[in-house]
Amino acid sequence: MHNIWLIVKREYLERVRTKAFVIFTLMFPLLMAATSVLPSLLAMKKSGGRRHLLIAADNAKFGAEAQKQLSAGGKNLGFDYQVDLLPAPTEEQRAHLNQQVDSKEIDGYIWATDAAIASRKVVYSARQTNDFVEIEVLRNGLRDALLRQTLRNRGMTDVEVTELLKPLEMDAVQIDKGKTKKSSEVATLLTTIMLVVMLYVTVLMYGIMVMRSVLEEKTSRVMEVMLSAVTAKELMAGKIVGVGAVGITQILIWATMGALVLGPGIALMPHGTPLEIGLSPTAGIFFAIFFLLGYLLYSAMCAALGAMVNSEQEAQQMQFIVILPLVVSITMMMFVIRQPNAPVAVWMSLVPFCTPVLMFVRILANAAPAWQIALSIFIMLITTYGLLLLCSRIYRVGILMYGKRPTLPEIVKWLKYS
Amino acid sequence: MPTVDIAHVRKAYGKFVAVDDLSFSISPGTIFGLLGPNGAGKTSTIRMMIGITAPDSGSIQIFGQPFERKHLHRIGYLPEERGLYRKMKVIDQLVLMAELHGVSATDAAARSRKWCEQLDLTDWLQKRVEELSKGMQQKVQFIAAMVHDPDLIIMDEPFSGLDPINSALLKNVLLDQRKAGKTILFSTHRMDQVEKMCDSICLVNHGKAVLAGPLKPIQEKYGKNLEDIFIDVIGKSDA
Repeated sequence: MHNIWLIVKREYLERVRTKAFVIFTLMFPLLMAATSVLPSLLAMKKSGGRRHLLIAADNAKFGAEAQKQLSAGGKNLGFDYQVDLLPAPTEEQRAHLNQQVDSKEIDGYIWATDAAIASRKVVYSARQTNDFVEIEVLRNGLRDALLRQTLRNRGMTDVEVTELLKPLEMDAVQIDKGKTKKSSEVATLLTTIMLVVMLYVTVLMYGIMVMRSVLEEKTSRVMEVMLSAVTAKELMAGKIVGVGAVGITQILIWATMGALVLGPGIALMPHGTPLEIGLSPTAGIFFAIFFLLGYLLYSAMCAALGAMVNSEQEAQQMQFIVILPLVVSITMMMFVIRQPNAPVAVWMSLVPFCTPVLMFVRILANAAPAWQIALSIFIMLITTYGLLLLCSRIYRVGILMYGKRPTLPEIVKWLKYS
Repeated sequence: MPTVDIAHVRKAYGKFVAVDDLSFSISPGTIFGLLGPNGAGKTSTIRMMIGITAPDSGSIQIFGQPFERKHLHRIGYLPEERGLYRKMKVIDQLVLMAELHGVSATDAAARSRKWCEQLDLTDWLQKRVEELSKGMQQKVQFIAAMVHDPDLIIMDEPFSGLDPINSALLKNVLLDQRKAGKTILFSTHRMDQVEKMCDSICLVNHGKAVLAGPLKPIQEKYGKNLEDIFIDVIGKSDA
């Protein structure tokens, strides 16, 4: 135990003391924020000033309604439209309109003649048509206008039409052991994805760290000196725990930073906004459990891979073995979120390499009965222990073999060496 | 009671027999030379002596008892493949090695400093290993094997890559150790480097002992220097 502790201490201190650790720990949240917030900010950005559109419509009443709906709909999503009506358009005028667009007199026009509406196909012409948000705004605006106009024609008053077109809200209420709770499915989904991605990134990141650490001991030949004092099992256990402790330190720092920065922001947000984080204590506890178990399982695999290869390049080629099950889990995730009790979801969540992600998703969805959770944790523990035993053997022999990468039969042979 | 007693040890890796029915023993307070060409099985033998691998058959006794891991606290090992943690400070590295061999934290630091003083490394205590020259790294490695004051010192090719001055420095340290009653095992294929120091030798080839015993009678019998004996005996056993 004393030896393991000494190795844990070395692995931990030698990492945490480096400048690289400090810089990365501080920069990572900024990077994450930059990559997740910036694109959406850019996408939300108002599309450059007032835009002048024309709507060519035979029906003056429809045209007026469309004018109103387009300006209103545009305003909601940050577009500033000036919409003018072109009554009783002709094909000759259309050619002229095209010229006007070209010469930037107007930004675009919508061709919504009676004929076009009758064929349910209107045309929007502009210099730039690849902003899908804008196209959607225009489409919805026209649809609304058409609907209102039609209803009015059928003899409804304006008040009746507005009443009829009021949006319908539906609350989703989750019933869990007799208790009901109103949940926002968007929040649940976001929380789930966020936690799962965190799980994926951290498990992978620290697992790879273990692999590189083993490889470093191998290439610097320090292994043999170490083995004259400690067993391969002690060395591996110390390494995994030490790097894991670094990971926990990093996550705690990030969580604190996140709470300090995001906490006040979330508190200020109006209740029920999609960004409200629905993180329950249960979710937190299971996140910790599955992070630890997942980390142990994957870092044991990584340590063995590190012991088998001889260089960074070889290690990178082998990394897919570790990454593959995680990618499978992530691919399955959306399906499991939607149908957490489908037989495939249940079985996959019991496969130890997928458990950290998929069982966690099912727990967040309140779909996993206690016995399945317990079973999955049990299977993971057994698998991890088996892997640790297996890996420490590969590790012990692999570290003494320099030169070419071992073949699978050779590895099997190593397992028999004492 | 010999410090090391190896009897009929065999070790095979798959079909390759690295060590084959090898026996020798080392008396306390002597310097023993485990000699042989590259790939003769010297390193494989040493690895079994310190429990990195286990023999397929035969017995290994250390300090009069079958090998146990607790013996490692009394053994110092300098492997042929030198290696240190490159990013670690010299002092931290030495303290770690001492602590792993059962020395208390405070003792470990004091002893490391004393050794560095003796080997002219005091100015480098706080430097990272990678900042040191190769010769200095060798000396750090040497201290790492000695810092816990072992009773059995195992040195695999101890003087390779060292300049004459540093070789002489380390040789003197080892001779002092013998005077202090420590047992030393040299493993090497460079006869000239150990000829004057060894009390007895075991010459191995293809995992088998081809010549063993106290050095003096061997030299009297063959009447040559060790290198000629080496070429002679190995040549014959290969033929």
